[in-house]
Amino acid sequence: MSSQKHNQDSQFDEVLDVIRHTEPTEEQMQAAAQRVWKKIDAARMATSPVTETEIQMADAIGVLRSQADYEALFPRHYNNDLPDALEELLEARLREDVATRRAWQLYKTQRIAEMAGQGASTISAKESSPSVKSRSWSFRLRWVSVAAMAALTIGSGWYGWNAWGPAQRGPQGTVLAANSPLYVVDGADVSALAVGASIGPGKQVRVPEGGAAMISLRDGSRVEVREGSSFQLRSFGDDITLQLLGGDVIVEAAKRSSGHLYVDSRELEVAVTGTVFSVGAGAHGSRVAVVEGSVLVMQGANKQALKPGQQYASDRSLAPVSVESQIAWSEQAEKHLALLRSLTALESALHAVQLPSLRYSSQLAPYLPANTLVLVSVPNLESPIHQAREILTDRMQQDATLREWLSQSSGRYGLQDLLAELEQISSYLGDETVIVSLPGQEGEPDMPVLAAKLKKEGLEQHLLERVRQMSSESSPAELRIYRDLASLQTASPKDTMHVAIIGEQLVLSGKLDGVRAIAPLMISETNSGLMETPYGSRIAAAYQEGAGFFLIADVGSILAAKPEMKTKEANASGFDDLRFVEIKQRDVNGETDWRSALYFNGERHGMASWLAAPRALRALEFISQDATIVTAATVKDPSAMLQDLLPLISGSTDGAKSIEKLERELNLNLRADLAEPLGNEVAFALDGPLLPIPAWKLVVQVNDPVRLNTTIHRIVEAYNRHASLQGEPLIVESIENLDSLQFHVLQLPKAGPVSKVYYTMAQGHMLVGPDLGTLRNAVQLQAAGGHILNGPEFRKLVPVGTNTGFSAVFFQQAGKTIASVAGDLTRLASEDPKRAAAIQEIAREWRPSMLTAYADANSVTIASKDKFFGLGGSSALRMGFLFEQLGALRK
Amino acid sequence: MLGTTTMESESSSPPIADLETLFQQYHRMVYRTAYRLTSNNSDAEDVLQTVFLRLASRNLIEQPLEHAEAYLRRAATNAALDMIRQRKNVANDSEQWLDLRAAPSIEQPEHQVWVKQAATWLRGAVAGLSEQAAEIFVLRFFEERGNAEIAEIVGSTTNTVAVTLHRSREKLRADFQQLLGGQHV
Repeated sequence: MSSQKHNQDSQFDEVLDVIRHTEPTEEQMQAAAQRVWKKIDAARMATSPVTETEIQMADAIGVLRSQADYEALFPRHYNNDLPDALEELLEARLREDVATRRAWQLYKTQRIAEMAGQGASTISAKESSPSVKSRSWSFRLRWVSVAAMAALTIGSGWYGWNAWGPAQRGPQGTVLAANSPLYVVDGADVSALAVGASIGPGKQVRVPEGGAAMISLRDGSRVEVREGSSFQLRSFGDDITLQLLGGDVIVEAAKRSSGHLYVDSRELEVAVTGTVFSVGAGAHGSRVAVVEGSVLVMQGANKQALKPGQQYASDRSLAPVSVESQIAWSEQAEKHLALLRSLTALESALHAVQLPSLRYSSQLAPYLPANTLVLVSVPNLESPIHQAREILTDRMQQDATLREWLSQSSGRYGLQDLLAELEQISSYLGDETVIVSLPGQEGEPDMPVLAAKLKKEGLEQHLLERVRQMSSESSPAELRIYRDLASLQTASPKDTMHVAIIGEQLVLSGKLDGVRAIAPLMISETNSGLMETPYGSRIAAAYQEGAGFFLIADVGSILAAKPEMKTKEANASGFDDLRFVEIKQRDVNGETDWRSALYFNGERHGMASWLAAPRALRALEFISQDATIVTAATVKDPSAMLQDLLPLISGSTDGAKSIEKLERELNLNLRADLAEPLGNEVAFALDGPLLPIPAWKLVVQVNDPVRLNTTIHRIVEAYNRHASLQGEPLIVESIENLDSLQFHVLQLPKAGPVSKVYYTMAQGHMLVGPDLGTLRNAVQLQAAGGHILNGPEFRKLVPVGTNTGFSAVFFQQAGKTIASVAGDLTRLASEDPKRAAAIQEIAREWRPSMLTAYADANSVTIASKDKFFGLGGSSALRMGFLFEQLGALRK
Repeated sequence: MLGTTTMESESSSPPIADLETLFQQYHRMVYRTAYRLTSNNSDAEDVLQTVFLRLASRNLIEQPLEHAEAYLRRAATNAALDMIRQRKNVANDSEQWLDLRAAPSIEQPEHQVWVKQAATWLRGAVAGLSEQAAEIFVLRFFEERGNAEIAEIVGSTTNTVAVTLHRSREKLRADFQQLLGGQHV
């Protein structure tokens, strides 16, 4: 034994020794260090503190308020000795502001003239100045040639806009194609310009009537020039300007890393990079329309960013060009469209219906049984139904489509008949009707019972008459009417409709027990104690705040009667502790207020606790004000969410094994590598062009970008390992750098709508999207503050409340966006312009809507300003039609 | 970006306030420490990243590292131990270590495989000790630091370090013997 022990001790020491001398290879260490440093550096950049330059810039922004402030910087800018921060701000201003740029051009022209007057010695002295920064050399050398040229042009008496211009003296463009000769106008001289010929700077090119031309610019942009148009090209540095003297052009601007392409007309200036847009200039003004990408249009002090499908006109008298007038309808689209038009008009008209005023007390609720499980309270709708009927009658008289649709869709009794019947029945009832569900034999909610006060006599006769009309020999209808409590108590529980009309009280149900339980309390006005229970206090609160329509359910009691529902899964979900559910709709000051709330017994737990308390939802700062659909939420710690989720998955042996297998295959720990690096906010949006593929954006708050990157890398590696075994194509990872941001690119193997996914880490968030431009824009948007949280449409729809943030939000302005891209649709579907116009017309009527959620320790409230959360009316029909049409176009 | 310096010793010069310099100077030490414990390049890289990322969030100018090497060695040890703990406490699952019972003699080719397996077990077993005991054990027996230095690193006394080391070693020896089929002492 002693020898064995000694032996084992030696073995133990040997093992220790092996560990002590375990060494990685130098190559492995170096490679790992390179990768890790790259990630740390990227993370450090993303969270780096404010630099000196940024501080200077912030200070400078405070100083630079007017154009005069910027102009004061010109001499130092010209001499290239501005601090970096001011230099950057001035350059940005010059790019974006026409007036400042023109002032700068004038300043330069004057300085060049001065330099030309001073002679070459001054210029060379300046060139050799040791204080000149290295990056200014090419800039300065260019200016020597500009100065010389300026001197010549000034000497020749041609002074003006073009005097300074030819900083780039070579060809500015080339004629790629033309179906008739083009002309170059040079003063009094006119000469022909053939295909393949170069276009010099400042030369006026004219495309005659009946002709058309395609021009290539020196940055690779292409310009289609319409007949009867004329233009000239000039450039300075990396910037190119196409001066549209008259006519129309369509520009496909090349993507570029520096400088801009400008298109100037008499009234407007358009700045672009990488986009497709058209500019028309005529006697009445100019119009810009964007097909793809975005442009910045400047008219004097006005600036406007245009998105695909949007137009800008320099003059109010220039009405937007309607695509509808250009088309004739296809039969099916026309049919759908006509009906939707009718329904839309009807829906708009119905908005005028006045709903009853709010109820602040109830003559019914206090007398309901204490064991009530569900209560629905409905206001008397006699007046609204009457108004709605009148509107419907009116619309039907005017609108044959609506008339036809209603006659086809109605059965034995039409919509008009149904409304008339409801109105008539309502005329007998008081200002409130309650529909109640009491516990059945096993505690489940039983058949509902309706109760109301009667305000006039005659309901009994009315009901009997209706029953007689509806009855036939094959299906006799029956109604049992009780006029006193004694007959109610002695009645047999036959399977029919039981109606108690006793005094001013109406109680009816398909189940006699329900009528028996409620009628005596109502008639004697006996307070059952319901309102003293916790459930009753929720009901009382609904009346206190002013009741319209509401439903309140005592879910806690319903669940308590069903012990079989107390499962491990239910506990993990956290909904086993649900106490009350409320849905309320009221009209306050002409605005709808929809609220739905879940109340829990004590603090929320499990999945029911995933929604965190309202926050600023800063992930939305990466979403633009023009986003089509946006949804965002703030959740509790993702690790805790995983904790809630794992018992559900790993409850069975199979589940636990599959998690272990998954972790092994992915070579990661789900909690440490996936959940912990994630933050609490997430947002998803369709934000950008909708066609051909909607530009989507996913924003996830991140606590540990480096680890998350590693995790993604491992998941990709695991996928690729699996795919290579199966002989399937792999995911290709690569990195692109732009604007000091690092973009990871995943080239997905399956050809589909999403073939590439880009992601980057910025400002503590991971941004994921289909292309680099979308993500770069998102980063710029966040920095500039033009995000959706500041959008007027978004802010308008935020429900009234005390919360300054949201736990979750859903917002759509699909109608606006789809309508705005109708031009794009028309271009894409040149063979089917009818459909594009149909989409535009329907979408225009589709109003934005919003749904917000607020969570606190023991409840979650969902609120909206829309009836049925914006999904009522013809919205669903409209949405279906739009998606069908968009799908057809995409094909 | 990365230099090729291999200097890893603690200098008496003022604390380094630059992350890149710290990384250049100590990334190898951190990686080695992590690799000894995890025996896995991917995990060692994770540890390297975790340790320096934490450092990146610290304002090194206002809070310079007084004893950078000691700090980083400790950080690497703890991050690697955490990683082992997160994976799974493999050392406690004796079913997994049946193969260890029959240790091949040193001449046999299988011996190397056996030692590697035993080393994996031991790493797991060390991670299963209390946090401080594990840290002290690693610093002493894997990283070969002296008791006085360890006491300074973990903020304890030399006596405590010595006692902790003795107990940990005896426990691990006993567990090891039990695993190999011997008597628990």
